[in-house]
Amino acid sequence: MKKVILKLEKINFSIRGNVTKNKIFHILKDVSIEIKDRSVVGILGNNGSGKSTLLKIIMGILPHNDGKITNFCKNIKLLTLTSGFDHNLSGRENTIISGMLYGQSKLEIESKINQIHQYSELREYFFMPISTYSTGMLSRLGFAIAITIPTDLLLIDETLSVGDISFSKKTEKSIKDKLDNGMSAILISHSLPQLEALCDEIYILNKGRIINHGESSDMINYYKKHEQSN
Amino acid sequence: MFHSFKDSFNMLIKMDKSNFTHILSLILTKSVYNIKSEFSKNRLGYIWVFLEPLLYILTYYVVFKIFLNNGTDEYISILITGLVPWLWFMKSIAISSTAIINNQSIILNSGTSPIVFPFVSILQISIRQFPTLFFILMYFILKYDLTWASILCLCLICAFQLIVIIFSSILVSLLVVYFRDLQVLIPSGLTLLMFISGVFFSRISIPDHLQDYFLLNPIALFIESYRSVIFNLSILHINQLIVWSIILIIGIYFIVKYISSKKQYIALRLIS
Repeated sequence: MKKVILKLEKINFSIRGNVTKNKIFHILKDVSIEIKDRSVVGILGNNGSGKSTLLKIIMGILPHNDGKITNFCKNIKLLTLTSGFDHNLSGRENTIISGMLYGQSKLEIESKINQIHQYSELREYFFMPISTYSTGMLSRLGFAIAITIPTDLLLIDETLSVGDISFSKKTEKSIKDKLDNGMSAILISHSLPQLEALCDEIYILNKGRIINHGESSDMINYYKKHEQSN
Repeated sequence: MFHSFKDSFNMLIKMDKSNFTHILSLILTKSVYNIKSEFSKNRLGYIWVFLEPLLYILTYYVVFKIFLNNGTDEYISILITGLVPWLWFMKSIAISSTAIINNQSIILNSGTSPIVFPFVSILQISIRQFPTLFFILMYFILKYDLTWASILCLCLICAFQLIVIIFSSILVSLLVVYFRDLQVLIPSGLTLLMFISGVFFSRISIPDHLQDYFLLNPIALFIESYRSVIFNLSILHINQLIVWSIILIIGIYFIVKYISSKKQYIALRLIS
C-alpha cells in the first residue's frame, strides 16, 4: 500500500469581501483530500469552485481557517508558466529569474540553461527579448523551466495544454516520466480526456465542497451526469 | 508564546541559512535584471543614470537661483547636496511603495517572500544612484579639498541614508498592502517631505528656535550632515545620527520579521 504524503482534513477557507466588508465568502468548506506517494490526483470542478485556492493552501501561500494539513513532502511546487516574466528580458534571463523564484540557486539554474533551451525548442529566440514571443512560445519556455525543477509534489493548475499539439504531447510525456521517477502531482484541468489519461484518482469540487471522489473514469462519468442534471 | 529579543534574533539568524543566502542572491539578481529591463526600453539607455539627476539640478537651479534670484554663491553646491540624496530617497520610496502589490502574482504563485520585492526596489535604485554619487563626490573632493577623514564621514552618512531608505521603503511597501489609499497620498507626502527636509535651503536659513526640531527629521539630518562635512569639514550631528541609526535598525528588524512571519496573512490581504 502506498504511503500518504499529504493529507488535508476538513479544510475551511473564507475571505471577507473587498467592497462589501461585512460579507464573508466561504471559498472552501470541509475539504478533505489524501495524496499518496507516486500518484496523480485530479481536481475537477467548475470555475470559481475553489480549485486554485486549494492549491495555494497546499503550497502554504494562503492560510486556512479550520482543519488540519499533514505534509510529508520536502518541496511542493506550483507549475506556473509565465508568472514573473519580464518582457524586456531575453528567454535566458527570464529562465534565471524564474528558476530562482522556484527556489533554485543561481548556479543550479545556470547549470540547467542548455537543457531548458533545448527542451523549449526556442532556438535563437531563447536569447531574444520575450516581448517577441508568441503566447505558445512563452508557455513553452515556462513549462521547460518548471519541468526541470526537482519537486516531490507538483501542482498543475490548467497549464498542461502548452503550445502546439506536438509540444503538448511532449509535456504530457515529461509529466509521466517525472511520475515514474517518484514524483506525485495534483492536476487541475477542464480537459476530461487529459484527467482520465493522467490521474489515478479524482476529487470533484462543487462550490467549495468535495461532493465525490474515486477512480478517475468513475468520477468523470459522475461529473458529466452532474453537469447535465444542472 | 513570546520570545525574547535575543531568542528572536538567534531564530532569524539560524532560521534557514541557505534560504537567507538564496533570498540575498534573488534580490541582487532581480535588481540587476530590473535595471537592464528598465534601460532597454530607452534609446539613451544607461546615459539616463547621469542625465536624469543633472536635469533635476539644472531645473531647480534655473528656478531658484536665476528666476527667483535666491540663495548664496554656493547655491549650486547646496542644491547638489540636497537634491542628489533626496532623489535617491524619493525614488526608493516611490518604487518600493508598490513593490509588494505589483508582484502579487509572483507571491501568490511561487510563494516567494514578500520582503524580497521592496529590497529589490531599494537595491535597484541604489545601484542606479551609485555612479551619480561617485561623480558628485569627486566634484566635491576637487572643489573643497576634502580630506580622507571627510570622505570617510561622507561614506558613513551615506550608510545612514541607506538605513533611512530601507526602513522607510519596507514600512511603506507593507502599509500599502493594508491601506491601498496610501498609494494616492505618497506623491503628495513626498513633496511635503522634500520642502520640509532642507533640500533647497540650508538649516541656517530657518529661524533659530526651529533648527532643533528641523533635525528631528532623519532626511533633514542626513542632508545637513552631508553639508556640514563638505562645507565645514566636520561631522556635526553625530549623536542624532547614532540614535536614529539604532532606532531605524531595530525598526527594520521588526518589519522584516513581521513580513517574514505573516507571509500568509499578507497573501490573504493581496487577494481580498
